[in-house]
Amino acid sequence: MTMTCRDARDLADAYLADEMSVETRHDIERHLEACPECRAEFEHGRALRGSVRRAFLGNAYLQSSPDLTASIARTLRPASGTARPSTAWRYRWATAAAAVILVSAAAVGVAMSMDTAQLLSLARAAWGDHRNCAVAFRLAQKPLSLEEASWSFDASFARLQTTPGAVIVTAGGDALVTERHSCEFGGRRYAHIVLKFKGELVSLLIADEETSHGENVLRAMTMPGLHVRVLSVDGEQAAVFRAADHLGIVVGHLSETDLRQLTAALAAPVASALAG
Amino acid sequence: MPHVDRLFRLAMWLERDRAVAEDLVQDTLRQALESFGRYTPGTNCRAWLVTILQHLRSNRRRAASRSPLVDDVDDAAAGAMPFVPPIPEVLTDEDVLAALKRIPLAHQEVIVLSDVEELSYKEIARALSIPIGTVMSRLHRGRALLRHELAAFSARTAGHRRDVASRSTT
Repeated sequence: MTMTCRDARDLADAYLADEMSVETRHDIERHLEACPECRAEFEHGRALRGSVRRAFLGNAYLQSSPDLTASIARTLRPASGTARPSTAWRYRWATAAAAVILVSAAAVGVAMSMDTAQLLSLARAAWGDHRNCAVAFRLAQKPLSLEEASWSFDASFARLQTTPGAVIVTAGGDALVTERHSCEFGGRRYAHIVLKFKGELVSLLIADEETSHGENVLRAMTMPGLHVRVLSVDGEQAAVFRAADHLGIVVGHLSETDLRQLTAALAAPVASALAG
Repeated sequence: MPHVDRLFRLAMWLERDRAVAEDLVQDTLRQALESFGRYTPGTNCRAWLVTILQHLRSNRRRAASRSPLVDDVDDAAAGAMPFVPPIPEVLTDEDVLAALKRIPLAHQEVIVLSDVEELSYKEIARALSIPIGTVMSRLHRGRALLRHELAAFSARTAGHRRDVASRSTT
């Protein structure tokens, strides 16, 4: 489709907000390559969005006071000395507080038997995310930076901004990290680290606490140490390991030996970072 | 508490009154806690909180029998605005916020939710209870209005500088 300047400018906001189909995005990019005026216009639009954000974040008048934060924490915390709330309520409160005000709630460890069906479900979802996000760039919601996802979903995602490092040394050669973000696929939220290993795109997906809790798979992985379990799902393989109170899943078109070697090299630093 | 800081910034911008904004944020978090069962794990927690905040604002306005939060600006927005002026090269944060304040609240809201809160169109539509098409048209119109305000502001500032310069040379 040939796009006019007017068409392109009408779609500028959706383009800059990453709210359009891949096809339309490509049409716009083709137009921008050929049209310096529209290119400049899009750059103005991008700059204006940045200016609004910067102005907001830097404005002292709009900042909250420490008193408000303390007052909210006091108000929302259940009063001590009152009747002991039910277990369900206490659990709900802890979960809500963790999500809403990022109060870290101590996890109650309940060992459950391994449920392979749940692990397979997570492995299948991980392959879905790998195909749709890392390979085809086709997600319903745009990915977030790990830093932003750490504010909204899981504080420990921030630690994955630098771990694993850019180069992962394995017995079978080096793997290179090409991308880090947080994305959602099939109702699950992940920290997603994309790597290149032996010429293949490989995804390391780390399921956050809520995702893990929903499936009970986190507590299903109760093996001691950094045990790596390789599962076959729909003719593909996925390697799963536990990292503190998260679950790591590695997927990609690799031989089982390569998948195990890479996962073993990833598991140790990730588990250490998430335990910290 | 990153959520509190961000919610407060949004509430403060919308209400322009510290006490009202603090009260609104407290009520938002209390409501979030009470209805946590309705939160879908894995979705954007911040967008969910913004939706609660907007609904509380809307209820308060209704309870106070004041006008709706947003006038029906979309019909007016359908009018043509053929010329969009360039963005002035020199802009301070104060210039940007002052210009933003001068455009209709309905347009301010979508720009702030998109640019500052970084919500998706779908999340903005849910928070404001409006169709996605309206989010898009308000963003389009709002950005054009913002650029007009910035250009006008810049022209006024330049005129003021010229006046000061001519007075100092005479």
